[in-house]
Amino acid sequence: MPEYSAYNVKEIPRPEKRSFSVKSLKDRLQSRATALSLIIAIVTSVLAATLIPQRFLATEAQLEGWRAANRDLLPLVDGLGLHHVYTTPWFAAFILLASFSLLLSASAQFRTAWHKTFALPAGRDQKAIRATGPVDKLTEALRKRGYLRMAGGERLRYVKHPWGYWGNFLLHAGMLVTIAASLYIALTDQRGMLSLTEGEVHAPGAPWQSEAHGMLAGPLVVPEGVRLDRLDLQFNTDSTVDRVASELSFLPGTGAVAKKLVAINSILFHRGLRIYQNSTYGDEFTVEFTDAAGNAHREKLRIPHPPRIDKAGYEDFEVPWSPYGLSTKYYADAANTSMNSPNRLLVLRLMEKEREIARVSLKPGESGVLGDVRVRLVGVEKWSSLIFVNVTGMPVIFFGFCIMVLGGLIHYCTPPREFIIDRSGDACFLSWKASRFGEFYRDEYRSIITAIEAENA
Amino acid sequence: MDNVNAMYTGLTWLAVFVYVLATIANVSGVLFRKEKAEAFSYGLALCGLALHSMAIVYWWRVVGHGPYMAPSEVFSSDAWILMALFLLFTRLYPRIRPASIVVFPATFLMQALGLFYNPGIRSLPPTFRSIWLIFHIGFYKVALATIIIAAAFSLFFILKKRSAAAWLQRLPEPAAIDVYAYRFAGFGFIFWAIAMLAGSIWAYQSWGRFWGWDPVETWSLVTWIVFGIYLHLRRFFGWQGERAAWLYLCCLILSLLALFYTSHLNTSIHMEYLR
Repeated sequence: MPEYSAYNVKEIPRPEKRSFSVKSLKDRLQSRATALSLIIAIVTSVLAATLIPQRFLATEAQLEGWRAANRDLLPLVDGLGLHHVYTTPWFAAFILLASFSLLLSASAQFRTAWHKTFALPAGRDQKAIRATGPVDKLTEALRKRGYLRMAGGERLRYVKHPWGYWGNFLLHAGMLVTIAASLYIALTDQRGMLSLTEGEVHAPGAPWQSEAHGMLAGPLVVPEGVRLDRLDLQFNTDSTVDRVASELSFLPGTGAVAKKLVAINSILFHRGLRIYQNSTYGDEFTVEFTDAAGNAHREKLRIPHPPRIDKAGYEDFEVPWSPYGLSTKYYADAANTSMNSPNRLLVLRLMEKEREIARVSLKPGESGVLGDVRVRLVGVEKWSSLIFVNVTGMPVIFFGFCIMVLGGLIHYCTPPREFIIDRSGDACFLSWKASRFGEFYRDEYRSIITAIEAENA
Repeated sequence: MDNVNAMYTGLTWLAVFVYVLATIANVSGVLFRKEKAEAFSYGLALCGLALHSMAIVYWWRVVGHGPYMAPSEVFSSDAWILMALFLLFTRLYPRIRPASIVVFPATFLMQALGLFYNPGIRSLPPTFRSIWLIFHIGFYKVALATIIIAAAFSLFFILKKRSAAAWLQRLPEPAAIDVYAYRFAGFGFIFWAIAMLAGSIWAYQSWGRFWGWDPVETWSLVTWIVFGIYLHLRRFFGWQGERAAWLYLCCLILSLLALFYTSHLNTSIHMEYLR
């Protein structure tokens, strides 16, 4: 049986300093100072990414606005790639080093946990108390109180919650699994988002509204055409939306058309793809603008749905034929009675930066004047936004997270406590210790000793 | 509708009033070692909790969803979980009872703060109808409760080291206070992790991604890592006592910002709460 004299990892001797070698590199990566430095480096990087707009999150206007306001910082920001922190080589290096450090630390913790679970501490504790009475009675009393026999012989060891020694290992192993699975997904996943008007088809290979894919995967291509047949909206009594669903048709080159439904919180699985109903949807207004010279411009204005009957959906547009911006909003019903009304009310505003130049309100089929432009609302159709995802390995992330949580729970909620019984002739010596948070369990120790003494009396 | 609001607000104010009475009895009991007053304060706290529960259940029935949409509901449920968990923890670990002089007032202050917001009825958006969202929000509330309890002990440690006031000397020994703070910080770290896990499962079910670097997600991760640094320093670098207590108070501020401030940022999907 191996012996050890310490329960605390702090007391494990530190490795001696050596010249550079694989072993010294391993020691360096495993050192607590390295682990702490890497954690701080990663937190600092993440903080930088929250303070500096990131290209994948911010709009071009937000990015340019920030750059104009922080010109002095631009050499540093551009040099270090601080507009795309999570895809910089140095951030990848931090994650890689942290993963190695975690791997080494988890393997050391595995050995420590094994040792603490099954080994007997060397030598008798100076604070051990002398107990009288048969040892069998004593061990029976400990078993009754949840202490499990972990080592036997002349010296007995009884531990309550011995799995508590494995908490730290599981916590770190879970982190490792989660990081590895996240990395795999970041390299291999494919996703695309598109918005379709009712009746519109997205053909295989057609460009996405927005698209992202990992370094080891190409852009996502839908295996067959997808058509939005209908956007189905249902409303609560207070006119807020209750259900959002899209009826889709999948159009293979040959064979039958498959009709399927996707809704918020009801994922559609089709030919290896996961399809999500996005929470953006609304109406597309076809508006014809005729300028003073008689040139007609037909625009399709896709505007998000109003949240309630008395509130509007808003969107801003730039049109190539006008120097002014077009600010739009619409209400679900011009009469303010039904969210499903065909009688939408569209409001168009011509804007010169923040200043309104002209405004017009239109219902379907109506015409009006917006500044020196005549406008006609030609038609209204519904549009819906869908997310297509091709990803594997997601359950591994959640599994890793669960291991991590389990490790943390058993580390903080079930700290092991142990009794060592040293037989010595007719009597025996009892010592007790809690591996962590002993202050919480002082009463437990005293009550057990008192109870055992009472039973033996 | 006015009657419904009046009923809810009335019940909530009544619970606040009882919590205030509990706080007065508790503070005098703990500070001046009046055991009867302290015991009485726990009875009052239970009464307050019962009234508070009635208010929450009543409002739940009216609005048709749990107390996590409007700010008034959020603060009220935070306060409820803090008090309920504290009472539960005192059963498991009676030694943490002195933390009541921070927990009791924190409870009524949070609940009263919620009353400054209009308790208007808000429907649950379709994306919010997931069991994972309930776990996500619920565990952040549990984490907040444990973080506040740990903060009480960190504060006690600092005060006890810096002042010779008689009431402070009646608190447990500094070494014990330090361990209580450490353990409850550990609980906070774990419950925060569970909340993040549930949130990532919810995001994956709703949008097909488990992480999107949304400001709320990012600050939650930063807070969790900073708690991890605190625990790492304590366990492996021997940090304890006043130094650890000050670091913990920084963690507390960060966690409050992550919970109550970042969700107000316009770029966050969590902003949907406030619309």
